Amino acid sequence: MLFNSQVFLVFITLFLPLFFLSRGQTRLLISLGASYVFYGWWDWRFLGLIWFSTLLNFFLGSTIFRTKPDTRKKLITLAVVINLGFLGFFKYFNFFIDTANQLLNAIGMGAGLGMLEIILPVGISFYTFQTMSYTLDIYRGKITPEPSLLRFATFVAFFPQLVAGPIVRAEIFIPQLYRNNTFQWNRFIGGLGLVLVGYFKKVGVADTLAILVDRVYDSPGAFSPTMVIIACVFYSFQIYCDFSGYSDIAIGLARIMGYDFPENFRSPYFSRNFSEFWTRWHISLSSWLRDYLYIPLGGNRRGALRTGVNLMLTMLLGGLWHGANWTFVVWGGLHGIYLIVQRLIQPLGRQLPDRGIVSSVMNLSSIVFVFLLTTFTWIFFRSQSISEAFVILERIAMFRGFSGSDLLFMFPLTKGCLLIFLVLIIDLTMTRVNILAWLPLRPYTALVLFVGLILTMAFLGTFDSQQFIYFQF
Amino acid sequence: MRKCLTWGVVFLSVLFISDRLLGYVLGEVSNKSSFRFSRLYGGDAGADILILGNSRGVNSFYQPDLENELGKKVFNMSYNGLRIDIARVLFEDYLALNQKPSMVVIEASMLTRAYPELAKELKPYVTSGNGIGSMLRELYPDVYRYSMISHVFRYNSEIFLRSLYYLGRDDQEWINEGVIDPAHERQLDGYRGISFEIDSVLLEELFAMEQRCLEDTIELRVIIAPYLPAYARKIGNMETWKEAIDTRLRYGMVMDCSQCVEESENFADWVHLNRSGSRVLLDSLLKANYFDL
Repeated sequence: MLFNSQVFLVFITLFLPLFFLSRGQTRLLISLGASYVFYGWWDWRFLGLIWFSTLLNFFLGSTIFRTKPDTRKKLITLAVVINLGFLGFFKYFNFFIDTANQLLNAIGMGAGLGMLEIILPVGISFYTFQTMSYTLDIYRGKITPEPSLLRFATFVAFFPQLVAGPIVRAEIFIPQLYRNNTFQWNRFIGGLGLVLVGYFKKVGVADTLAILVDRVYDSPGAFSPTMVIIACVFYSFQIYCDFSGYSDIAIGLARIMGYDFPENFRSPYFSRNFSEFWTRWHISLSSWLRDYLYIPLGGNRRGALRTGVNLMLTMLLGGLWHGANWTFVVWGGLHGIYLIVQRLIQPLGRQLPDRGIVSSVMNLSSIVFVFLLTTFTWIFFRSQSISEAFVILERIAMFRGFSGSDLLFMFPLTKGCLLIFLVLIIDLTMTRVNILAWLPLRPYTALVLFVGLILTMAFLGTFDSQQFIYFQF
Repeated sequence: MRKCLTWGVVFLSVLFISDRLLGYVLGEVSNKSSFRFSRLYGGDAGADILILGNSRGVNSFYQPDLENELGKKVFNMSYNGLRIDIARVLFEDYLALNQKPSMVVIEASMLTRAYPELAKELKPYVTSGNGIGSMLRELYPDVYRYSMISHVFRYNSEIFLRSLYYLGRDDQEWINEGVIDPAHERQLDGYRGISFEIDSVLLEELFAMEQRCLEDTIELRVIIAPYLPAYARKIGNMETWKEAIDTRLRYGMVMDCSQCVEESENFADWVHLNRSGSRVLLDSLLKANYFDL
């Protein structure tokens, strides 16, 4: 079920009253049932995978907690292998077979290993990482196992964040599932505000920008290099609004229900360097990778060379997490390079003044520079193959003004620029104001803002119920 | 809970009233525009000669030149990507709201598959004409429903932005001044060519238009406007396509001007004339007494 579909509107209208009218186990049961309906709407057959993941981590988690340290290590290894095994099979099997075939062909041993027709289950990367963090945290002694299977299953399948995050850790969410939240006006207004901002980003901005981006990426040769550059910049905002829009809706819905989820995006395109970018972009994934991959690898504690290797490994695997394609690996690799280079040149930056006009100019240039380099990486992320990415890059390299065929796209171009401007204003506002706290204090100002947002969406939005980009990850 | 209900009621009321108010203002803006469809639905597009076509119709017929030469009122209702089925609906609305023309000229490439979604973009006029409303209800029921629920949504359209652009300026005076880039022209060397799809559904639409013209004693003329000669030569089935149109028309005949203009400097690209090209075309049509009744 898509957040931006009519059926979801019916679903949430039926669900929320039932949620607030129930208590305790009944509420958990309703939440879990609704979550399975939400997921099963796409393909009920894959509910089995969620059940398997739930049962596996529930039972392994409590067993790990009860057993001796030497057995624990074996069990946690087993848990990681099975979790990643499932993820690997559904997401990467064909990718690895294809890569193996290419390698074998290259050395003249064309084996022609057979591929399988595998459907990628929506959200598998998200709920696998979420359940894995539960088991890993028990192993590390950070949390104790959840005794109720019902509560644990709700934690795994909770519909607002099931298919595209944010990845919420057990230590944050499970304790909240013990609370019998009542309907709270303040939470409702704040949550609704965030939900509307999310819809604006998705329906208003991302889907509108997608019109031009899709056309240019489908046939870059038909557009002038300038238009291709514009499409690349548009894609940076499309993916940001698509994904952060989903997160905003998820966090807002949870907020209405009385649950607090950590923020997943914090105006990432205002970052002045790449470390900062990764503390602002897809925060739940980057912190997951930091805690369960980068730090266990040694983090930055084992010298400059090892730090660089750890950074690169983390970013490459982070790239691969997004999908079974070398384009994602290149995307991750480029970010790895950026982070390593940044670590090397950072000492030079410390000599610059941190106040005054020079500092402001430096900050602004850094923001633009980071944005442009990030946009460069998105070219690989958006392309279907490395060669397609190079077609785009070649087109850009022919730098020339607009061409006649671009004229047909002046409307989406104008509309896109206007929407990007609006989203930047919203982002800037949200970096300065905590809307979750601010809106409930001014319910009638909130009302006017909400009406404005809805009418702007009606006037500028795209209503084709396009799928969220991150569903495929 | 009472606080919440009060807020909800106020919210929905403000939303509804704002939508209707803003919708009204946008509608007034659209009505005041000199954009062709605003004029059509405002009843201000009456002319002796009505031209219908897609972007090739826009670029081939320059209304000020036509009016000067013919001494008659001309209205070019062509629009980028306009297809004959949508054009027929617009034509019906035109006849209902404007003075009847004595001649309708149709540029034939409207009979090829183009941009069917253009119908959605015409939603600013959903309640202005019977034809457009019915077409939207039939082809895009969701868009029609949303347009009824939210009046602001009606103006979420490229057509509306264009009508904003043409506030206080006449869209009939626009003509493409560009000249084809030689590099773009050379790209034709590696071009395999095209074949026009003979679409029986669209041919039926043309037939229906001819019938409508006969009923109202309006002269219908169909023309194939010029293509860049090198491009025209790449069209594999021009003769068959033309014959299919001729056969479907009961009385009319297609005038083939696909190669009437020879010099590249008269083209903006492979398929569109520029200003000087439209002049060359007009001269040859005048020579052939094409606009005489």
